[in-house]
Amino acid sequence: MDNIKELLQKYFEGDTSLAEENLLQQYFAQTEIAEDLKQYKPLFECFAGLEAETLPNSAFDEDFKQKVTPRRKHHGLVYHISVWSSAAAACVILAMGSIYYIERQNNYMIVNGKRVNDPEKALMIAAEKLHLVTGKFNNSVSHVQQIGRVGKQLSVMEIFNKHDSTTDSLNTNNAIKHNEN
Amino acid sequence: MDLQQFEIKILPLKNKIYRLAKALLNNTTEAEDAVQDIYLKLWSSRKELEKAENITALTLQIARNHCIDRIRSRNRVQFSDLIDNDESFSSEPSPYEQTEQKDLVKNVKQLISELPEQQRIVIHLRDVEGLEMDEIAAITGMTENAIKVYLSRARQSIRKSFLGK
Repeated sequence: MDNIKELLQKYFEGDTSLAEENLLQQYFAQTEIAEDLKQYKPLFECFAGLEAETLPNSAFDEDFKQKVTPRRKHHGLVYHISVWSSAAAACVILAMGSIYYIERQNNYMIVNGKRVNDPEKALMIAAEKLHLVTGKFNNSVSHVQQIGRVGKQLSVMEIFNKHDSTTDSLNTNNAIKHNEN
Repeated sequence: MDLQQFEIKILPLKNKIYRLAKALLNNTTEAEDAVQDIYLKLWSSRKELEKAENITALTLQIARNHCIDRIRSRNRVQFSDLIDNDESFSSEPSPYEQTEQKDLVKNVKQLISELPEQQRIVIHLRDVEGLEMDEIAAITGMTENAIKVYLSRARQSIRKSFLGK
C-alpha cells in the first residue's frame, strides 16, 4: 500500500512511467482498496471508462469506403448515343486514314535509288528534275543557235570568198588580156 | 497506400481519433462530424501516412490539428458552450457507469473537460490513450519537459477540484 501511495505522489508530479501508471490502474480497478485511497478510485475509473468509448456510428467503415470509392454512373440514352456515335466517327476516320496510308504505300517513285512515298515530295523532286532538264535543253538550244549563226556567217563569207575569187580571176584575165594587148 | 491497406492500418484508429476529438471539442456530435472530416483528410494524405515511421502518431497529429482548427474557426467565446451536458455523457452507457460511483466518475469527466486545452490533450493522450512521452511530443509538437509540466498541472488540478487537496 505504501508503494501505491508513493506511486500516487509520483503520478501527480508527472514522474511515473507507463508501467507504473498501469500498476495504479490495476490497483484501483479492484474492489479491495485501502480506505484512505478510495477517494482516488473515480479518477482511474474515469480514465478506464473514457478509454472504452467507441465511435457511435458502427457502420463508419462501410460509409467511409463508399465515400472514397468511385461510383459507376448510370447514363441515359443521350449519353449512350453520343458515346456510340463518337466511336463510329472514330472508326470512319481510322478507316479513311488506313486507305490513305495504303494508297500512299502503292504510289511511289525512286530518286537516286531511294523510294519516295510522299507524293508532294515526289512532285517537288520531279519539278526540280524537269527544271534541270529544261535548263540543259535551253542551254543546248542556245549552243545550237550559236552554231547556226556561225554557219550562216560562214556561208556569207564563202559567198564573199567566191565573189573575191571570181573578181581575182576576172582581174587576172583582164591583166592577161592587157598584157597580150 | 490503397483502400485495402488504409482499411487495415488507418480505419482501426477511428475510436482513438473519436476519443481525442471528443476530448478536444467536448461535444459528442461535433466529435463524430470531426472524425468524418479527419478521415477524408487522412485519405488525401495517405501517401504521407505510408511513409510515416509512426502511423498512429501522425494520424493523431492530423486529428488534433483538425480539432484545434475547428475550435479556432468557431471562435467560441464561452468555454461552457463546448461542453456536453450531462445527458450526452449518460447517453453512452458503459459498464463503469453502472457502478455506484458513477456520479463521481462523471464529476471527474467534467473536471477534465474544463481543463485548459493543452492540459486536456496531454492528460487524454497519457492517461486515456496510454501513449509514451515521445509519442505525445510527436502529436502535440511540445517538448517532453513541457508535456510533463502540463500533465502534472492537469492531474493536480483535478485532484484539487475533486478532493479539495
